[in-house]
Amino acid sequence: MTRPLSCALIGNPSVGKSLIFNHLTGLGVEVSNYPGTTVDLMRGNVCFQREMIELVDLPGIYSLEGESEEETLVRGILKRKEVDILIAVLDATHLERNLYLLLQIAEYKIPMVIVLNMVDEAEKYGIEIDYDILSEKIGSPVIPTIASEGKNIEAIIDLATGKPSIPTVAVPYDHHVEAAVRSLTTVFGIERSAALQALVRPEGSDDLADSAQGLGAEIEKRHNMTPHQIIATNRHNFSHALAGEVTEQHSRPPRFDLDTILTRAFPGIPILIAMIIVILLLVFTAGAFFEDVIVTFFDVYAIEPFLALELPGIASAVGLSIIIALQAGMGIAFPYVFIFYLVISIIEDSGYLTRAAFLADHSMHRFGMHGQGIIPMVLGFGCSVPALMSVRLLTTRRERIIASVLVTMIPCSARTVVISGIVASFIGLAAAFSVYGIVFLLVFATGIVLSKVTPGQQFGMILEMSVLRVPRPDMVVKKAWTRLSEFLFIAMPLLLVSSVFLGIFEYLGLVSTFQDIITPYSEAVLGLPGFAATALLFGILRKEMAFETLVVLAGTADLGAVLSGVQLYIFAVVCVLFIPCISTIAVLIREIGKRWAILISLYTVAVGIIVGALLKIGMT
Amino acid sequence: MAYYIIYDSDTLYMQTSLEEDILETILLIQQNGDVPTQERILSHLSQPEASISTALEQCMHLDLIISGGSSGYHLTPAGRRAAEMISRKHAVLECFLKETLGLEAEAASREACLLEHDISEETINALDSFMQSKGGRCREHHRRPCPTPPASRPLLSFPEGEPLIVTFVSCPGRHRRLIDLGVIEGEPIIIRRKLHNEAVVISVKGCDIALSPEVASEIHARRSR
Repeated sequence: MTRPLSCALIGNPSVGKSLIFNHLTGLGVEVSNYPGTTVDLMRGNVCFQREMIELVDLPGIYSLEGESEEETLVRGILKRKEVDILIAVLDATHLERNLYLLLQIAEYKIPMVIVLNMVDEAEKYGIEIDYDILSEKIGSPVIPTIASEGKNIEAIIDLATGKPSIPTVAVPYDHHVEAAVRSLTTVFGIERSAALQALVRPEGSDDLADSAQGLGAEIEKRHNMTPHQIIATNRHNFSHALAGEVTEQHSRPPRFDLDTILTRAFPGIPILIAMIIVILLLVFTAGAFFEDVIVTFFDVYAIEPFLALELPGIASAVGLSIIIALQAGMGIAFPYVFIFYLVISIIEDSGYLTRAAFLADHSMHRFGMHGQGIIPMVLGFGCSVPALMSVRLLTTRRERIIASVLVTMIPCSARTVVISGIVASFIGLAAAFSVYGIVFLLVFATGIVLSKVTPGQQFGMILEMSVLRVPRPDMVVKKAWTRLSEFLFIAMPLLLVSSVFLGIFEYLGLVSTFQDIITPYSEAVLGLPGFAATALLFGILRKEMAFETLVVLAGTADLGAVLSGVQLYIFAVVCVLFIPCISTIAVLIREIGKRWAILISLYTVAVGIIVGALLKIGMT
Repeated sequence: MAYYIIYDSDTLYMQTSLEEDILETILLIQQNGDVPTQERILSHLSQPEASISTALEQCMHLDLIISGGSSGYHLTPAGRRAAEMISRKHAVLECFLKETLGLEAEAASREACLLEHDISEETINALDSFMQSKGGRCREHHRRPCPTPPASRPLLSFPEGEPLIVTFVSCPGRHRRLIDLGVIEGEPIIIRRKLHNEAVVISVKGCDIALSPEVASEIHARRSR
């Protein structure tokens, strides 16, 4: 059997590639209005006239010459000619900027179809593009589409399977660059694209890199510009001229620009703060409500009937732990992760997220991060899991690590339950706020220290502002669903395994042994009875479980009767700071690696115990 | 790129060009029957006051002009000769570009302003006699003042909403993405938003791009004419 025809969608971020991919393959893929979220390579199959065609959705990029992960990935695929046909998607409203990438792609001499997307929006802006001239100038077929309405999308496959031509367009570079390219292609027998690449980024230590470096240095001396700057300038000028030739700009109807209010310090920042508060309130109310529903549902329809079975010893212990793990997983997944992702997808697809990042840039600098860092921070108040999953929006590893540490420490809604359930109800509201005060102080201090000690360079933020548009409900739900399933896939196995182990330990009496061992330390260091330490241990599964277990082990819901105010306060503080829950650890491992996940866990344990011990000394 | 080279030679010969422009301006003001005070010279040349003061001092040092206090500056015989020469160069070049090559009057004047500083006396004489042999005559002989390009300043020193042209980006290697998004020499941009902390949103090629202060501070620009 012959290999199926392989086509790849390529283009700038947010031009509608993923939308087209979704439409053609029907497979769930993230579509986002936030630049650069499609990091994973999505593949799908399209059946066309009884033939299988493989379709790849390449990540959105601005250029083929950058250092980012996405650019390196796409460059490699083009260089090795891993795909047969390229489907270059251009945003008709920003043709000139999009042509810059197209001109680079064209140099790789791969058969190409040009999809001019968002022609409806371009029309609204009074932009008229002559498709025939564009096609003639580039030397590949051009097809206008409206991906959001699915218009003309099927025709892309017709064109792609119809043996599209290799683009003929070639940018006339500065004559010194052209001379250097000629010399490199003849001496080393490489293609034009490879010679240009070598001039732009002379990597490695082979003869080619040496020659390219030498030629590049000479050009730089002559022009006072690096070869990359010259080549980029030539491409930009060529795109500008080309766009001018094929576009006719009619008068554009005046439109109200929402950015006049969204990106100004006033009222932009109050709007941002209001948004954050609304998101948090939504979690505290809707999230807590649905969690309660799910937990009760499990209690009534799973745990009680299961206990009524009166299974023999170990089976009962294992079964119960599985149910508890499912309860914990679902209790986090649906109410918090899903609701959060719904909200964040709406904000992301509307394009507001980039405005928030711009406004927060300054404050985030103190913690060694950029504006984008605000997203995980805000999410962290709801649930650490989606917050950590959003850390990948940050561009450098340094930022990802700082954000992960801080997100882990920010009190999530589960920890809020502990604070409100223990401190607010048994001690008072002021005391509850003081717990937040302690945690925020530690988060700030950690952030400032981390921004100084974390290795890696800090680059400034260069972020394209997404166009503001009304999000599509089906896309929002689809995206939230994809992320939810991702969470279940990462966290559930770990949650199940650890819950079963805890169940077996309990059954074997190891928990009470642990309690016996821990009691003297717990009493000496934190001033807490042994059962409270055991309750803290259960907080690893789900933070509120520490609170629930405490009630169970104390044998009464009136905790004030068995523990003093100081003890309750210390318990709450330690529980909030202490080791992240299993789901969080699982996501930490996935996002920043085992080493950092362990380090962060150890750090939080240390901080929890030290602060608890200090409180004990200070308060007694 | 061509722009860059001009920019570069401008920095190299800035002093002489500016001095020549000053001599020319003083002559022009005198011919219009006005007193060439420092304010008037400043208003003719869109250059920062500091560089004009330095150039004026340099001219005095070279005995090309003398300061007459309230009666403004006066050209010395040597200064007058230099001013007339540069003025003649401009007139001949402008006439050649307009009448023989058919450039627009505006463009011819602009080009002449650039070329007048570098062209030699021999070439101008040759060009002048060539023009006369061809019978080419300039109908209007009053010349326009040379507008020098507005000075390049850090991007962050400009207010919101003003049309600007990028003059250069320092550390281009660190910010490849800036280049890829179109922030290159000669590119028209507009500051869409500037916060008190100097984070900015700029509009380039129809797209809005948010920049951290440290990135924005590496971009230099000038007012677009």
